[in-house]
Amino acid sequence: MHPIRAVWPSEDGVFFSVATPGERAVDVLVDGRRVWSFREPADPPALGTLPPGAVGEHLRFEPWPGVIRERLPTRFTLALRAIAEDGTADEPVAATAELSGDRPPALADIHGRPLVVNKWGRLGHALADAAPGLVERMLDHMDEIRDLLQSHLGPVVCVTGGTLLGPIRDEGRLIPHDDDADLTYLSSWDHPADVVRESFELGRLLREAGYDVIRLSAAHVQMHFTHDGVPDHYVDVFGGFLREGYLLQTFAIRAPMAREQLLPPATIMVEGRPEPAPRDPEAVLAENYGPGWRIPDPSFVFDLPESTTARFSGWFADYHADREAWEDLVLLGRQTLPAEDRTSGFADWVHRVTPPDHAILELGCGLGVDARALAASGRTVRAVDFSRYGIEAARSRSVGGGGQVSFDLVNLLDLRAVLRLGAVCAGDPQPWTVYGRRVLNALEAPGRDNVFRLCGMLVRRGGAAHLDVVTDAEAAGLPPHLRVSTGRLVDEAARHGLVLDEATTRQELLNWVGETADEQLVEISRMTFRRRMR
Amino acid sequence: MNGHEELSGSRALVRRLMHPIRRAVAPAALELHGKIQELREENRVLREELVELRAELRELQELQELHGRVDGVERRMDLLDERNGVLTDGLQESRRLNLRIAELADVVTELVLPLHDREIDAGALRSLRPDAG
Repeated sequence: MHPIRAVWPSEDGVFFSVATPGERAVDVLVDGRRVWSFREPADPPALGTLPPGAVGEHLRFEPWPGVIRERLPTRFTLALRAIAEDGTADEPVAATAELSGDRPPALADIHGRPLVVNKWGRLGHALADAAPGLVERMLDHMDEIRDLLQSHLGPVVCVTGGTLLGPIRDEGRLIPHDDDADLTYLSSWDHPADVVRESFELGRLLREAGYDVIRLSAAHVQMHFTHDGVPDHYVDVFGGFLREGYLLQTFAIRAPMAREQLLPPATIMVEGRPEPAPRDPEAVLAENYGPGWRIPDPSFVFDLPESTTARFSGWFADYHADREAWEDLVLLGRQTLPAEDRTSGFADWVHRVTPPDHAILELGCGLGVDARALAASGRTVRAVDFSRYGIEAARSRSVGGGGQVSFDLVNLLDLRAVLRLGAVCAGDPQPWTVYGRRVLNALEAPGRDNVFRLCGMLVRRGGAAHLDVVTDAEAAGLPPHLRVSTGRLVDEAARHGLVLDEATTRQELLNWVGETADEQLVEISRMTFRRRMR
Repeated sequence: MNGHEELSGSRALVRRLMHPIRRAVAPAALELHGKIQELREENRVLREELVELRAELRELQELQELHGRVDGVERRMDLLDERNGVLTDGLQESRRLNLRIAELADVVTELVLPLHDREIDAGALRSLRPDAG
């Protein structure tokens, strides 16, 4: 008997009936393609919410994830596929969905790559939908990186994560809903600070070898690859080390483990290739994915104890916070270059109050509209952002007028990148004025500390730092951890020798990143900081 | 029959003889006598109750003491929660310092020293002898 008996799509989600209640994983297929998985809810839906015809002894409801709802076609075949306890997929049960609205199907990114909801609840890609040859290309690059790391570190590199889980569980095959290749290495260091220094060194090694390296934390880097000009795949490298009898492997493993369980590496087959694996892969997988790791679970999400996350966040920080959300603005086509570059009201004001001989450094430039417009007005502008897709879009349009603009990928969450930028700018002869629109609301305290440190370095020759901040408590879509008062900002700036010179409050239109993308009128404060007189 | 037995027999005889006289002359005294018995019984019961009440009182005192101790433990737990928060923040700050040290060490070796390698002051280097701690 099929576990799922019938399916009724609705505007808000999926109603379905089950033969017997369970906690099974369920795949959701849109026009025959898996786009998302969820865990069967324990409770029936509230009475009064049922669509016409929805009957059954055990009715269930699962809402559409917000990231996918706006992208569903208006008419499609919806199917649910239960995953049995042994991990095998049941026959899908289908129904025709007709949703309101008038929009083109958009379950693909701007490059036409099919999208799925990944284990982080975000839109991503799955190997099951991969273009021909992608898996081969990805594994080729993984092998290159493995060899490079081994040449530097010795035989301490192994496959990990999904690249270990799939092959161990499924006779050498990768997991269809995975999206990358994962490597780890066992550091010879046991102190987190030394592990970080080593990871920084490895980052340079990989960059010097020509890879496009993105640093996600002080012990985790990611190499991205394109194919025919289109983003294609990526390879993760996670740092790991043994300390006081525990294996600590970013970002998900903290468990008692002996060196002999990890090294020397065993050899496993990954899609027909011999790859190094931990000596006791079962032990590592149990710690990485829990005791149920042998059963495929497309709805799997990490549920890490605070004792683990606190250590990793403290030792290695998060250099990637919200970056994917900002990159999705470009990658998913939510934000595109306007027909014409025009300065925002804030940038226009900064241009008017800034002495003509000052260059402008824009922090968090996004698609670079203000930077190009300021340059077209004759300014020398250096603009930075941590979204490489944003920077690519910014660079894609040339600038008219007599000014100059350069766009650089700089992560304000990374102190080293910030100090380097400060040193580069300090080496230029002209005085600097710093401009950051909406940037303070995109950063938590450590990132803001880096911004004020940079401002403190750059405004020593008489410049100013002009930064705005949303002070409207009613502003929708801005999460609590990104709200900050002007008083607190003044205190944070003071630590770097900056004083508030001027602050004005005004109502401005705001589009914030994420699901609540509607433009809203909110209260914003513009703040000008200058160097404190000694 | 000894003297004592004679005396007891005499008393019983007197008592029997006196009873009708008392009933006739002072019936209230007889009632009072009966009351005395009741009061004695009542007194006995009350004493027993008093013993029980004292036991309960002791228990209540112990309970009150326990309440006091619980209040004390709760106050201590509140203080410990507060202390735990402070220590956890301190621990996290200490972890972040590890990162800060690594970042700064990296910046110094990769950026600061290369920028100034042509301006390194030999005198300053000499003042930082490796054995100087």
